[in-house]
Amino acid sequence: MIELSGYTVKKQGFALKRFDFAISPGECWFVSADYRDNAELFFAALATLVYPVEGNYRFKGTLLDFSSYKNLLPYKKRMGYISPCLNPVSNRTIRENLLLPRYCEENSLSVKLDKNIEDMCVLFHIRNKLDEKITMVSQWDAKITIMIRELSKNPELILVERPEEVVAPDRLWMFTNLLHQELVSGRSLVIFSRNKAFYDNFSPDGKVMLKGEKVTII
Amino acid sequence: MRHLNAKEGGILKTIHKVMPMNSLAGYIGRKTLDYIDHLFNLAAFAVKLAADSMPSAIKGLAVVRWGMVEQIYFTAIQALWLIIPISLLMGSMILLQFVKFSGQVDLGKLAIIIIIRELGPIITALLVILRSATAVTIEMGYMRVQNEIASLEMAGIDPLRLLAIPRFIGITAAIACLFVIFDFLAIFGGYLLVKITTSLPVDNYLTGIASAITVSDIAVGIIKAVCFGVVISITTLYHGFNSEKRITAIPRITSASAIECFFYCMIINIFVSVIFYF
Repeated sequence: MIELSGYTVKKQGFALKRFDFAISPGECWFVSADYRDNAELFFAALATLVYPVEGNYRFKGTLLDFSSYKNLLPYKKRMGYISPCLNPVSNRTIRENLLLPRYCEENSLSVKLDKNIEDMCVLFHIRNKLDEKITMVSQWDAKITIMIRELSKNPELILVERPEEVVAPDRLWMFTNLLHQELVSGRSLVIFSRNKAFYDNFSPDGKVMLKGEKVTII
Repeated sequence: MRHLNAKEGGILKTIHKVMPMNSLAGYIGRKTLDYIDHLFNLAAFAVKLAADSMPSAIKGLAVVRWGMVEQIYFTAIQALWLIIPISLLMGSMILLQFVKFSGQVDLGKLAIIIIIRELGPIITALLVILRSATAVTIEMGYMRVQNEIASLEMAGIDPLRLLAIPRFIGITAAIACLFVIFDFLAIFGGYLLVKITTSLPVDNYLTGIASAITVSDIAVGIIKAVCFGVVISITTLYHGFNSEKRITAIPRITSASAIECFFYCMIINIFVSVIFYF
């Protein structure tokens, strides 16, 4: 699916140096880190939000060109990045945030939510808040909006960072079920969680350990 | 330590002690190079924005139009309550001062020079900088700090197209519209205000303007307004999009952006006036 080789990334005093990482379709990888920021940097690197200082990134065999952010947009679209760091556009409603990609794609503002997105909204109790602005809903609802939008892209690779800070504890099991369904349908999964119990729901095909600037693959 | 007074060369000596002469020269040099670099980055951002604003390049035109209408509403319509009283006050104030010179100078010509050519575009730009440009810088900076822009990218949406282009076109169009409203109200509203509230002899004011105005006067005003719009929107968006990812950076970029906008507007104002009238 993706292959990073000789990859070095730096951000705000943190760095991960010369690491290799590859994940195949249907695989599930766990990440453990000494610092939360290290894990954040690793996920941002996988999501191509942080550009490499050196090294290559291949997505399904295609070498990514980091010379312009525009070249990366089609690849970002094929990844689902679920992280508490990401936020929806705050001066828009939940519905508008969920529909933004389709507004752009279909060049129309009259598109409606798909059935599967509506179902997810019901599942995560935001169905009746769809027309409220992000500033008027709770942080949980804002994060869930991003989670639903990312999963509704049908991503080939799903990056899950600190899910316990994205989904409220009483709904975490529903999110786990959704991820299981994605895994069964051949998606790849990379998970970093501080909640040990969350890992128990998955069996890993590999582990990434982040310690200081060193990345170890087990 | 006793500081020497200015007469004894105190300031220079103090500067020299704090910062030796070669490091002062180095500091000025570095600042100049930084500023040149900043201007190049601003120009590159403007070119990128202009290229993306071409209708053929805009994917998802409906979203751009949506954002543009909203921006015009925020910048032009919502600013009317501010621009209307200011233009009336300015118009009547200028007319009251002009009446003193009645018979000595051509009031119509003077009003055109001051209101249409100079004050109209500058005051409109100043109002937009204070009201909307700062808001746009804060909004973009906040979106960057909160990773809202990153989340748009993850959705495969180009943030420049979704956020920058509607604001760029919206602010530019809004300033041009506000300029026309300002001029109209300052001339006619100011005249009516003075005529109704005072007994001053202002009967020849409007006929003086009508006989003195030329196409180039109106063109200069509109060209200035459009240029101000372009410069203000590009500068604010540039600062917002390039903000550091720290909430404490937002006040700094907002103030820098507002000052820069006003400075560039003043330069353009002189530049356009020189091209058209000298």
